[in-house]
Amino acid sequence: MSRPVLTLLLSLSLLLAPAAARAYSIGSGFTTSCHEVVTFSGLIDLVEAADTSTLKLPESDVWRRVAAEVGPALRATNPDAPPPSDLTDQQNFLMWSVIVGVRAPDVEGHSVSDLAALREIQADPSNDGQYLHALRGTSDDGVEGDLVAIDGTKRILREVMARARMAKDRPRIIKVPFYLDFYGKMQVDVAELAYLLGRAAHTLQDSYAHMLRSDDGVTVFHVSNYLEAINGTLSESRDGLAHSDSLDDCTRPIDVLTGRAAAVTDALARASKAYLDGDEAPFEKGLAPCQPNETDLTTCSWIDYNPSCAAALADGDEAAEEKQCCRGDNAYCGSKWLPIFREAQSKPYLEAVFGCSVSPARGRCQNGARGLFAALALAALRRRRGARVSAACLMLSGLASQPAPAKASSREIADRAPSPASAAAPLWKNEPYFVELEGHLSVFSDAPDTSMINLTTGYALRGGYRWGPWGVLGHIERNYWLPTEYSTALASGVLNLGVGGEFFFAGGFARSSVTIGPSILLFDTALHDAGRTGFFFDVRPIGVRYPLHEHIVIALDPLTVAYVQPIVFDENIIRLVEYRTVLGVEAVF
Amino acid sequence: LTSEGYYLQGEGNVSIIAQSAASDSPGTFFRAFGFSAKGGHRWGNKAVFVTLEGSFWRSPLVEGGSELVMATNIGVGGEILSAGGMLRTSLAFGPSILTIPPKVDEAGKVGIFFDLRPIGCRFRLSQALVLGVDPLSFNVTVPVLSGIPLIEIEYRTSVYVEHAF
Repeated sequence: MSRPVLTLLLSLSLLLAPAAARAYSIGSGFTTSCHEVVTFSGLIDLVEAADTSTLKLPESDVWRRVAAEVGPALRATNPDAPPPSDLTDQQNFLMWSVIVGVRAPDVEGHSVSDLAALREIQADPSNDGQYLHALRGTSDDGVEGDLVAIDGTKRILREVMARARMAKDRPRIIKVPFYLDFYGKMQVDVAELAYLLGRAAHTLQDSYAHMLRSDDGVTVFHVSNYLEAINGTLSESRDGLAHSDSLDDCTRPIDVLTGRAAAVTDALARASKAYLDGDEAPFEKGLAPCQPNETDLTTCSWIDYNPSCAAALADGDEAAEEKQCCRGDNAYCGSKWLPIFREAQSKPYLEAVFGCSVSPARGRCQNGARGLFAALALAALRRRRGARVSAACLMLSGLASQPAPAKASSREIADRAPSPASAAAPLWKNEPYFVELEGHLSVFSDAPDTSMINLTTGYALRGGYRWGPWGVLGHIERNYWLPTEYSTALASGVLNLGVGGEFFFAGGFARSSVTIGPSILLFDTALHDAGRTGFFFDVRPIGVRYPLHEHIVIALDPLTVAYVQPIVFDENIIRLVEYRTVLGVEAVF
Repeated sequence: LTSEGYYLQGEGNVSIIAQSAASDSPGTFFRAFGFSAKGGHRWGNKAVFVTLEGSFWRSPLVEGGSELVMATNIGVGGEILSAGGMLRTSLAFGPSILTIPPKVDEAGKVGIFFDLRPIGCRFRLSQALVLGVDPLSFNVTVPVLSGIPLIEIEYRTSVYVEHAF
């Protein structure tokens, strides 16, 4: 595929992706693996030092194969991460469980481009749904709202730790959902304790991305707001700063924050060990302000609100509150992170994608609609001038006109009006053989519990024999797949080999066809090797055909459905339902 | 099949097969369905129409299970007949009203929808009745535009009966 085309398709895919990047981004085909990097950095020493010899491993090795597949992508931005071969199986399983846990609050095992799931997870209108990510609830207004949100975030952390303590009494391996490219949502084994630690780490790390902090990253000055920002109802003075995508991006110059997030993740893990042994003090110390004589600042003040403001609020001292609390009118106490925070703040999703506000709170549509209308006008002008006709216009305008039989070999036949199917038969007897080269493209999936992007493309060679309105054909096809979760490198996909039949009607202008045959996997996936063979079928309900020349026909199938399943008999199968548009050139002889 | 004048259509549609989310399932069948009524005026092989549609789909929940969601689509559109009226291409668009909301939304939100039917077949049943089949069409319903938008993409198969006046 040419680079411009691939770029266009990736851009289209990206339009659907940004919702995934709400916290420290999790690794995906579109986002940097910040949560994973911070967790890896924070925990690797601990994992390497831990005695994991008694850790039970799952019977299935699916986790190992999936970890091997996604690990390189998740570690790509963390060159310091040791290769899995440096760790024991138990250590790898422990780290795997933590990483699955740290990703979970953002996607809960769904695709990063599954908008239906993301809006349920990330646009959860309950306050707890926001505290899970160290953000304000919708009712947390003003500086008082900062404190409420911080208390809520700490409560979420305590609840996760309580769940972990319960799990300690019955240490076990559990299955949790995990989305893998081409396979969809699968169940993977994790160690429950480590998984819960990962979930707790997610919330704690988010407090370094979603809370505006002091220059050293220790003191919280302000808590940001995601929900009202994307709903277009945010008033900064009341609802707080809009959540910032820039601070979510650990590749920005925020090393102080990411470094401290990693350090407190390590401290959280150590405190968790003590907590599970019955000593809650280290964990509670982490949630409390550091004492003046504290030497290790990573063990305290994990989420410590500006103490002078907190005191003013507690005392009801409005003058002190005015002076000590961080707001827009005092540039949030001069936090050096503020300029970065303001760089890419969240806004209504469609406004972010199209540069057009559709929120009632923002008023009328701006650039996006203007651009759309301009594009439509341009298309109309082009059509009027007959300069360039797109495939879609060709189809629509062609349908409006009286079509010539596509395989007409004489002017007499070409000039005839379309005939019913029964009358079309004689047109196809004289030149029975055909060869067709075609390309196909699918863009969207139509199920809300998967990635909305189902970008597949490829080409095929078809050939066959026709008699009357009927034909038989052979079909050889390369079908490439674009992943969305951990990469955007086009996968080799499958080789489909099929036989089928076709039927012409409307005077040879319209064609229906069905093809079926084996589908051969052409690349090694996480769970299966290249060469595995399943089946595919391709149904083309109605396509249209236009004669270019006596022996050349353009064929357009505007919507077809192909079911591709190279892995059939297994616990986890690959099956793609591809709704394609197919454009081909056919030679008849 | 290309008679002039007013017509009414009653239609049912269904998404026969969709990508399945689960890695151990071949696909999701009959996930979405809908009903619509259309009325329009035809001039030879061209027509304009208004449409009222109830669009239903099952939306999986993160914690398991699913919920039924409905949007009411009110649109205007145009269609072009070809091959002596045997083939039809149509496009419709208009507001989409969230009628049965998912749990994170409220009913009454208004967005947009569009419905593209590249090619469908039509068969005469009687002097005034036509049976139509759109084997595959593309429908995008976005009843919630704010926040993270609620986007429902469907590839539908539709059957309709048309009565000409």
